[in-house]
Amino acid sequence: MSASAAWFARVVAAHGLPGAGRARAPGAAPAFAELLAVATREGMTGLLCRAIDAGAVEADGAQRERARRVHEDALARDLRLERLAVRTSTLLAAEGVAHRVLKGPVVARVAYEAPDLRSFRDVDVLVGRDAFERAVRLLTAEGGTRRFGEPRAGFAARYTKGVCVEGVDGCQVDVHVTLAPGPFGLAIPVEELFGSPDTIRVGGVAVPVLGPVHRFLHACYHAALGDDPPRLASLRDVVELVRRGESHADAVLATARRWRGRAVVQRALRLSAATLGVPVPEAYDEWVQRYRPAPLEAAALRSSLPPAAGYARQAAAGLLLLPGARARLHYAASLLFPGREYLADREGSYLRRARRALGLARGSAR
Amino acid sequence: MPVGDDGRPDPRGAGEHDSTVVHAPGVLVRRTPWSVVALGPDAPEAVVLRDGAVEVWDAFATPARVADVAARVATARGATVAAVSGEVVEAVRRLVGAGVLHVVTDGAR
Repeated sequence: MSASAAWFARVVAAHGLPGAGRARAPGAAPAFAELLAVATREGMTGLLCRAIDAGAVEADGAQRERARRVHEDALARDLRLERLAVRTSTLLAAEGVAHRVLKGPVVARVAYEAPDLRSFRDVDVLVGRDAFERAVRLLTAEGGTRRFGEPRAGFAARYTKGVCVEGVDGCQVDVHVTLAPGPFGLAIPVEELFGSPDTIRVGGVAVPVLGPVHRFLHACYHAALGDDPPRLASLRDVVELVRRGESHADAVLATARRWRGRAVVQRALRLSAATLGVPVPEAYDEWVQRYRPAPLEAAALRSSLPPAAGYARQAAAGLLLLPGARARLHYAASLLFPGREYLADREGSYLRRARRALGLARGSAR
Repeated sequence: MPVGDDGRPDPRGAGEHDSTVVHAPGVLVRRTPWSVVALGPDAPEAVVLRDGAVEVWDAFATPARVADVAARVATARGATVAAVSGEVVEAVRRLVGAGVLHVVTDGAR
């Protein structure tokens, strides 16, 4: 992406936010096609259309019409995904699987002025660890294909963020057992996520979702740890959820403290403010400035960010925050001594895997 | 609601003036400042509505007779019912065919 397109993409991502200010654009505007492609990838064609209509982004009549059609295509896809979310939720509920629909379809409805301002790429659903395999089986029985292997049977349910089930139409359902990959996900007491019931109505169906505090924390985790570079829509989610005033900062920070994830919240708030050119929300401003993460939390954050991040390093760093000595031992043993098929696809021998693990563990501790 | 040979809603007759029509149960909708995008519960594709079709769509948020909606649209536009009737009937047929409008009582029967 050109520097100019990146700059304009941030203008679009911040469009309409109070306090969003910008210096002059760095040089000429990018080719409109490039800006449209970025907006599509980032799930913000709705914001681009609004920015064009408001004169914040220059476009001639043909370009404006092109943006509108691309936005309508994005909305058609959003609706197919939303329908998939409803069907998945209905299927799980019918089989007695407690679950929560997460992210895009929920945030678009609860946080944004209009749902069309936030597009998304897939469907995410959280289930309990004990119901994970059953949930995946139900979805694959509907024609989906499970992606990602696991070192040992049951490892994904117990220690990973989850797996992706790809449908025959290419739409994905990510089945989560926690809200983040690596150490921060392992530190979340996931049973608590099912303790604050909330629902949204989609197409007349009540769909269970996370409560406001957990919803905001999940947005922070996704913005801070989810993609590199962070998705602009994810950063805007953080700002929008604070604007809605659904959750009190004291409750958010108390929960983040129990989850050992305050460093993640701090990073999400800083990143969203800096990238979108808005002030850190007043309720968090003083805390963001003075909070210093504990050494383990700081090490876990380092292991989750570039250049360190990666599945292997995050898996090794899981030992940092996983609660309980027995769980840590079982986790380490599962990673060190995976099944032969899993090993054959990776290091090929237990010795080579042990050497690699040692190197990763040293890196995480630094 | 009549069903065609392909198992999909058959819009023939749906736009009859005496038909009562409403948004299909379970339809999913996104609204932009210039259009509406709607996806029926079993439809393969979403339908995009603009201009007059949005007006017709909005008029069927609650069950309404096609003839009454044509009269309302005519009043809103300062036109005669005859001038807008064909457009409304055609829009209703299209939206029923797309699975986003549901015929409560079929005026053709």
